[in-house]
Order: sequence, then C-alpha cells, then structure tokens
Amino acid sequence: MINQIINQVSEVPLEGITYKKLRLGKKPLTPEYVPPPPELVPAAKRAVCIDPSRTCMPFGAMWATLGVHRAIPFVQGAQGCTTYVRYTFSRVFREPASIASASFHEDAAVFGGRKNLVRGIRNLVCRYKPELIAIVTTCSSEVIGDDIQSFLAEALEMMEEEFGPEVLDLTKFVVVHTPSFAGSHVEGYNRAAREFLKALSRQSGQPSEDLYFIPGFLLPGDLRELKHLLELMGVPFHILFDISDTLDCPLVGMPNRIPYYPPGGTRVEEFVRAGDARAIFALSPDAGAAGAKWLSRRYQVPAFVLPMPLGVGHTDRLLKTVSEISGRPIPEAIRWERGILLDAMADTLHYTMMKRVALAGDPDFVAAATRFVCELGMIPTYILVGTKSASAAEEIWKVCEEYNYQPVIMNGSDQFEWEYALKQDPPDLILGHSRCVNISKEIRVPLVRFGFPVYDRIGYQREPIVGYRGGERFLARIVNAILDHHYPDDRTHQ
Amino acid sequence: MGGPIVDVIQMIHAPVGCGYYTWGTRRHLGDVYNWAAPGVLENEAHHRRHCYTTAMTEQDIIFGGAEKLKRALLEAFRINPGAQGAIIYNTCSTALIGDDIEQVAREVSAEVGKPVFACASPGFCGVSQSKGHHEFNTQFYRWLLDYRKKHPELGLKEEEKTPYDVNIIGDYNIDWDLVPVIPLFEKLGLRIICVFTGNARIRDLFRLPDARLNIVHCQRSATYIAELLREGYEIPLVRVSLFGMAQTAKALRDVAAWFGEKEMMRRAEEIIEEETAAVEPALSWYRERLSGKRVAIYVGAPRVWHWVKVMEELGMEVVACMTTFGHREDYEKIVQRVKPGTLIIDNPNEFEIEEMIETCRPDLFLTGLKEKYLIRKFGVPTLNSHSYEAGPYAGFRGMVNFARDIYQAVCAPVWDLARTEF
Repeated sequence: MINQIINQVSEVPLEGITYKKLRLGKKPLTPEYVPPPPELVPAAKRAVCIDPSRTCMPFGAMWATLGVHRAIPFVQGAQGCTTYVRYTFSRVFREPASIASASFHEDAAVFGGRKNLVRGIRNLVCRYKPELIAIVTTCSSEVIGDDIQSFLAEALEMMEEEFGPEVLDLTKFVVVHTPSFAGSHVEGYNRAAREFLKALSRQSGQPSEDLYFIPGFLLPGDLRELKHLLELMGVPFHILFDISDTLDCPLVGMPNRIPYYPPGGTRVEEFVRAGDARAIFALSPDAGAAGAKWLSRRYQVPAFVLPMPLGVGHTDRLLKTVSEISGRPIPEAIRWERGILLDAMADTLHYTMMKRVALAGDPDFVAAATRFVCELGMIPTYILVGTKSASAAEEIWKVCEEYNYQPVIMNGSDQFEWEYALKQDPPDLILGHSRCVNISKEIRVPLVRFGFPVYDRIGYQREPIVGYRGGERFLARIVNAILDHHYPDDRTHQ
Repeated sequence: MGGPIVDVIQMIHAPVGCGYYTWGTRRHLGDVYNWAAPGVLENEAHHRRHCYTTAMTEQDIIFGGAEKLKRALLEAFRINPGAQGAIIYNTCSTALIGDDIEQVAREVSAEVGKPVFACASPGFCGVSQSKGHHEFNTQFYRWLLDYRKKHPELGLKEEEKTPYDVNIIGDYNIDWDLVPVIPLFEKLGLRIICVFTGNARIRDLFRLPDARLNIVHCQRSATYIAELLREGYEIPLVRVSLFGMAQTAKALRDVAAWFGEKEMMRRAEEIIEEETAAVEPALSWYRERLSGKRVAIYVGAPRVWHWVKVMEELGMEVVACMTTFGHREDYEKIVQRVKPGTLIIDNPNEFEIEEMIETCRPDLFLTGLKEKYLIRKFGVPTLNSHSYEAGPYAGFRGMVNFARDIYQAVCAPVWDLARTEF
C-alpha cells in the first residue's frame, strides 16, 4: 500500500505527487459483501441513524442571519457549534462567514451561560458594531436552561451604563431558540424567519405595495434569478434573508477591513416595514412558512406558502400569484424565457423521457424537483426527504398522482436506507447533494448536484435552478449527465 | 483523534449535527472501505463511508439516551460486521444529561466480543480542541491497558517482537502524509507496528506498548500518550518533525542515533542523500520563484514551529506566527525558531489578523478553511494548512507538493489582475 511508485522515482517532477500517482487500492473490511439484516434497513426501525441527510438547527438560524445586512449570529454554546457551521459555510460558498461564539467551558455547563452571553454581546457590540445580533441557542444552552431574555436584559443594562444610552440604538437583537434535538437546519431557518419578523416587524398604518419573500435555502444564483423575474414583473419587492450579496462577493472593490461586512443583505428597516406589506411569500414551505404565517396572523398581511419555483408549473404558479396580487400582467420578456425552457425541454425529451431518477435532499428542494423531473417525463423512483416533512410528502404525492407514478418516499429517513434501495434497484440518474457522491460512484449512476450542500464542485451556488432560465440550466445539467453516462459518443450528435 | 482509525464504528452520541459535521470532512484518509454491493469496492475518496449517530431527539434528551445508544451500537455492529470495534463520543448534550457511555461501552463490548472505547468529549470541556486531544490520549491509554489486560492475546507475542519495532505517534495521515513518510523509516530497517492514529487499525493500536521506540510527530495532540507509554512501559520517545528537508533529515539521524547502530546511521545518510537528490531539482525551481516572499503562519499549534524552517528552506521569510491552541512549550519552540522581530500572536481575533496583515504585509497566509476565504478578500493569497490543498506535504517528497501549492498560491496571475487599476 505505502510502497508507492512515487517513492521509487529518482527525481520527483515539478508537479509533485499528484492524486493520480497516489491512487491507492482500497481494502475491504470483510472478505466479501455482507448485506445488512433486512429488518435493520428501514431507518424507522433502527435506533442508529446512518448517514443523515440533515444537519443541526442552529445552522439554519445562522444561514438566515447571514442574509441580513451587518448582522452577526451569536451562538450561545460551545465553540464547536460555531466552528463546524463556519466550515460548512466556507465549503459551500467559498466565502468568509463571521459568527460569534459564547465559547462555553465547564463553568458555563455548571453555572449557566449568563457570563458568556453578557460579556460576549458587549464585546461584539463594541468591536463589530453590528446592526443586528441574532442570539442562536444550542443543545447545551437549552439543556442547561439558559434564560436568554434575562441575560440579554442584563447585557443591555451593563452596556448602557458603560457606553451611555445611545448604545441601545446601535444594535437590534433577535433570539432564536434552536435546540438541535428538536429539529434539523430546516426547522432552524423556519424558526429564525418567525423570530426575526416577530422581533422587528411593525405596522405603520400606511400599507405599501411591497411584496415580501422568504426564500429558504435558495442560493445566491437562485436569489438573483428570483430578483430578475420580479424586476421584469415590475413589482416592488423585498427578499428577506438575502444571502446573494453577503455570501457571494467580489475579490476587489470590497471594503476589505475588519469587521468584514459585505455590502449586501436585507436591511433591518425592510424587516420593520414588513407589517405594511401587500403580501408575503414563503418560497420554501418548510423553511420560512412560519414567518409568513406569523406576519399574516399578526398584521393580516396575506401570506402565500408556495413550493420553490423550480420547473415550469411551480414558476408559473409563483408568477401568476404575484401577477394577481400586484395587478400587473406577466410581461412578454418572461413569456419568452418560459418559451425557451419549453423549447429546451422539447429538444431533449428523448434523453429525459422515461429515465428513472432517485432524489435526495432537503424537503423543499426535493418536493419541487420531483415536479420538475415529472415535467421532463422522468420517473421518480426513490425519494429521500432528509428532514421529515408533511408538506413535502403531500406535495410529492400530489404530483406523482398527477403523473401517475408510485415512487417510494422516505420521509425523514437517512441515506443508508435510501442508498440500500438504490443498490437493489439502480436508477438512471440521481438528483442529490454532495453527500450522494459515494452511492453514485458505487452503483455507477450519474449524480446531478443540487440543493444543500454542494461543496465538491465549483459554481453551483451561482448557477440558478429556479425560474425559467434556472430551469433551463438545471435541465442542461441533467441532460448532460445523461449524455455523459448513458450515450455512446457517436450517438450524441443530434 | 479517533477519526483516523479506519476499521471501527465511530458512534457520535449526539443530536444529528455533531455527527453530520464530522463525517468525511477532515482529510485524514485511510485505505479501508466497505463493500458497496457484491463485487463492488471502488470508492477512492472516502475512508469514512458511513456516519453513525444516535441523532438524539427531544424525547431522548428528556428520558436519557443510554438505552438508545446501546441499541444503536448493537445495530451498527450487525449492519457493519467488518467493524473491528467502536468508539463512542459523547457531546455537550449527552454529557449534560449524564448518559453513562462507559457502561454502554462495556455492555456492548461484552455482547459483541469486540473492543468498544467510550470517549468523553463534550464541546464545553476545556479551552479548545486541544483539551479533546488530551482527553482522548489519557482516556484511550487507560482503556487500552485495561482491555489488553483482559485480552493478553492482543499484544505482540515475545517471539513476534523485533528490536526494530517502533510506533509513529501523532500523524493523522492528512491527505496521505504517510505515503512519503513510512518508507523512510522502513528503509532505515525499522518495523512500524502502529501509527497513532493515521490509517490505523484498532488491533495495531493494542500493540502500542510493544514497541521499542515512539517517534512523535505531532507534539501537541499526541505527546501525551507517548509520555504515558514512557512512564508505563519505559518506551523512550524521539520527538521529530517530518516537514521540510533539514527537519526530516534530522528525524532520520535522531532515530538512527537512538538505535546507535553504525549501519543504521550509514543508511540514514544514504536515504537523506538519495531523497535530497530526488527532490532538489524541483525544489530549487520553486525556491527561485519564492525567494524573499513573506509568509505568515496560523494553524493549530505544532505545525507553526514545524513549518518555520520549511519556509526558510524555500527562501521565504516568516514574518508572523499565530496558533489557535498552542501551549507554553509550543510558543517556546516558535520563539526558538523565528528571527527576532517576528510577530507572534496567541489565538488571534480578526482585528489582530487585520493588524498583522497591515504591519507585516505577508505575501502568503498559511491558515485553515475558515480564515482562508476571509484573508483572500484582503488580496492576500492563502493556503489551507489543516487539510492541505493537494497533499501529502510531509517527508522529503511531500515537500515538493508543499512548495508547489505555495508557488501556486503566491504566483497565481489573479492577484496581479486584482491589483490592476480598472
């Protein structure tokens, strides 16, 4: 194993030891394949979770916070709760993400995190001067039972005494309770959406025509595509938790100082005016709907919980709703884009029709993508919904009934169960995230990456999959994967 | 510390995130893989094919998770019969609710007849991950001795031992660092019975006490166990650095000198000469292009002082050193190695890093993934020094990779384009 060729060459070339030269034969743990006991395949029958397709609740709350201008999440927990999340942001976006940690040690575990929060908030306010701090709790602070509101009150009092009353106007605070044992990152985002609006939004009595959008885990490219559509519609709009210009920023032209605050992100003021909105849209039923529903209950702002605008039907639905609410017609430019997507679908139907596809990922992505693959004439086979979701399951059933397919839906299961099904009955294509690479290699079925997380390929965060143009790009990704893997090179010419 | 062990179930007893984040992210690679399907064993990329976690829910937190952990572990052994043992890690939440993971480990171990080690590693324990390293060392050592006492057959028999048995302590096989390192010692005539813990098998780890000498590489995270082995088994240790030409050469000379055999010392010189000849042409090409560049180093702890001399061998000047979890002796070693006037910061915050960039003006910043993208926004090239860009970086031959990646970072045309008036 170790005695590689590279150790024997008499002169190491400039390129060094490349991965090709490092190719190592893997050794199996057992002499031959041992199938898992059948009764242990379904995740519901196991105590052990093998290969989860979801991560922790604080992550979702931090994602939302990083979409707010000059906002910093303050994580009330041990350092790891911050470090690993920052790693994840770095991997997915290849961008910095400033997140503060209360840095729990033994004393916090014994005496509670009061000291950590009070001192941490003070440091953060006077060193970073953020416009907003989202206090994100963790498993440990929730188990200990930290009384965040009283800690925060103490911190504010202390700062007022030290810096004068002006300090109270500097920074807004939002508290999001995210014990990871009570849900996944999807729920974390959902809670953050509600808590931000709860803490910040007001009604001035002067209603506006503005449409508000809570995007969920849409990536910068998707958000830009969404803005493009809304600009073409000519409606005034605000996107809450807009990470497009905070987690995707240029190398030059930035104010490269510490604290590093990217120019983008939703302004606090936009949250404040949300109570006057004409309507609020949640574009991910599981990640954000709680915010839209709260706003609707509190200020009677009409709330629309729509599926992610992925594919023809879902994008149609969003635009029609926007058109109805705003009274503005859908312009020719958008019809043109729709036509281009339909054209692309017609041109590629022989590649997509009847291809069997397995899907995995977060509920909102998977539910929306299921409709899109059905529109392409593909047959969904095994669908892993990483976080258990009633709305996603319902949506998937609805579309499959419409197109007359009977996929297996693994709602809230783990990848082990899903992958085992794929090994028994390989599809033609997998739509999933970066954690699906192993199964894709093992069963030699191409993987088309989408959703969260994609960290092993470049540019996915910038390439939209929503809207008609995004749909066309997503279609191209799918068809090219099929062409690469399922067609001989001399049959791909037309 | 336990992650690089390749043939055990790594059971994270925690809510779902703790397992998720530690699954297949750090690049400590191994050559073991599970069968995917009959006849299919081909994935080159990952050693940790599966992530096992108890994915604690609210119910479990309220009523305790020890029962669930036991069931989960027994299931994991049934699903993965090739596993030679298991390590249970508890985390903040499961430590706070007081799940007795040691008891579970004992019970499961007795039931399946395989070693199960319970590592208490809640996130709030200690100042940083350094405490986690320390805990793993001492807990693992205690458990190891205990288990060996009950299963004496796990140690090397007298007749299997050779006078040249050594352990490499504190190398985690990041990006296959072991590939250029292990043959160096084998050519000396040594037999490496265990690496703690890069690409390690659990049965090899039980043989740790059977070596004649411990060669200690990472002197922050793993010196502890080497010292415990010295106290408990009178196994001496040689501290080495396996980065860079001079340090790797010194490592071979020191190890050979410990054995005190003329023949081995001669072989060491032979290896050094041969290896130097193999990499010198490439290195001189890089040295020519990197000469005079200024570099700042910010990594865990030991790599900072391991790398000061390495940078100088590439003709570069070290202008600042920072560590996240360095202890007193790490800083002493840094101070011994750097030139007077070099800036040294302990656990710097972003403001200190900014000031460092302004005052020291580095041409290159060696750092981890989290800071890498932040510092790039300042127009300063960075290199992922935790998991590497494309390793291995250790040993003589790995040095070419290290030099290549530094050259690529510093001399990429993009930096000039970014500075061009537009």
